[in-house]
Amino acid sequence: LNKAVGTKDIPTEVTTAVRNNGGGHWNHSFFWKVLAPAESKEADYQTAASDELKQAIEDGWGSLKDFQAKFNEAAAAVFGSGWAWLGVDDSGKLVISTTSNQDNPLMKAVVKEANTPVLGLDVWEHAYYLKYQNKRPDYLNSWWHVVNWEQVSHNYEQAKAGKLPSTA
Amino acid sequence: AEIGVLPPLPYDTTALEPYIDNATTTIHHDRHLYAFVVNMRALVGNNSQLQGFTLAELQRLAGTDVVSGAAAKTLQNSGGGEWNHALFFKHLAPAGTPQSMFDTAASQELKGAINTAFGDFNTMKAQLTTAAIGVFGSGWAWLIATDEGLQITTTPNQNNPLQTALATSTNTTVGIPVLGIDVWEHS
Repeated sequence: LNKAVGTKDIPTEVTTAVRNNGGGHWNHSFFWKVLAPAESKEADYQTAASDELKQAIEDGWGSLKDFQAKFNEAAAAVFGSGWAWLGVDDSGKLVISTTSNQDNPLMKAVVKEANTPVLGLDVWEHAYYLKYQNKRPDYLNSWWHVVNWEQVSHNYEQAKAGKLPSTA
Repeated sequence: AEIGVLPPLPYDTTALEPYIDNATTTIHHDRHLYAFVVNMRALVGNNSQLQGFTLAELQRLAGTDVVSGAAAKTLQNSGGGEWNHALFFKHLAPAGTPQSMFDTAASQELKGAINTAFGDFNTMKAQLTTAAIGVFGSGWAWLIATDEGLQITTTPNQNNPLQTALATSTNTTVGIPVLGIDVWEHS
């Protein structure tokens, strides 16, 4: 349904509802799965991230830290509500992109950069306000402690095989 | 509002309780509005073509060629943010104060305009509420004055109905805001 947003496959009278609610549903189902408790084995990049994912991150940005900095820069720049994404594009490359509101990179008819997400971060205020209030940069610096690199690696493998990541 | 200057709240941060809580008002004014003020101070300081205008006049310039690139976005987002919040805090008052009683505080002209456009106050309130609830993501709902009388419109993010050049792309009715409701989650 997300991939069909903005196409003739979805009746125009429900396009917005599918985009907003279908997007929101997919995004959050995806999100819970790419998070894991800090200090868990899944959250330990060194041991939980696959060799393929590590290589792709290195190829793209040089190092994990450089990738995280670029990702955070994109996430910080989202004005209003939206998401930041790491995804696999049509050429098989890892790319960072952002979307507004509950759009996601699967919605290729309506987003600027389409790709298959492997990692996503919610930057709507509700995702961080209770603890961080307006201090989105603090949220961005902290969230890396709870990324589930095992799931992200699985999502990457799926995306490279032309398949979608699994959601809850 | 004076560009680049944080306007003081006309009341204490606790004054809007219980309807809007102390923490929200404090952070909203001291951090959210303050950030826009700081951005605008820098923007106008670094762009001489923006100097000599009021903040409202700058809203009308947002989206036009007076600035381009990153500065244009700052004018739209932070200029809008500064203008919108300056209006917002100014037209709130503690519950129970004379200013907050529609029957006695609203002018005959305003009441007449509301009745002409909507029938009565409760209908206007219901329509404005529906519009505000309908904003997806961050944005504002507005009661605006136009050549056709009072109307209701909404804007995304920190846009506002003074930003004529941006109105079509966001399906916003252009007009002069009379009342604005911030529906960003931080509100």
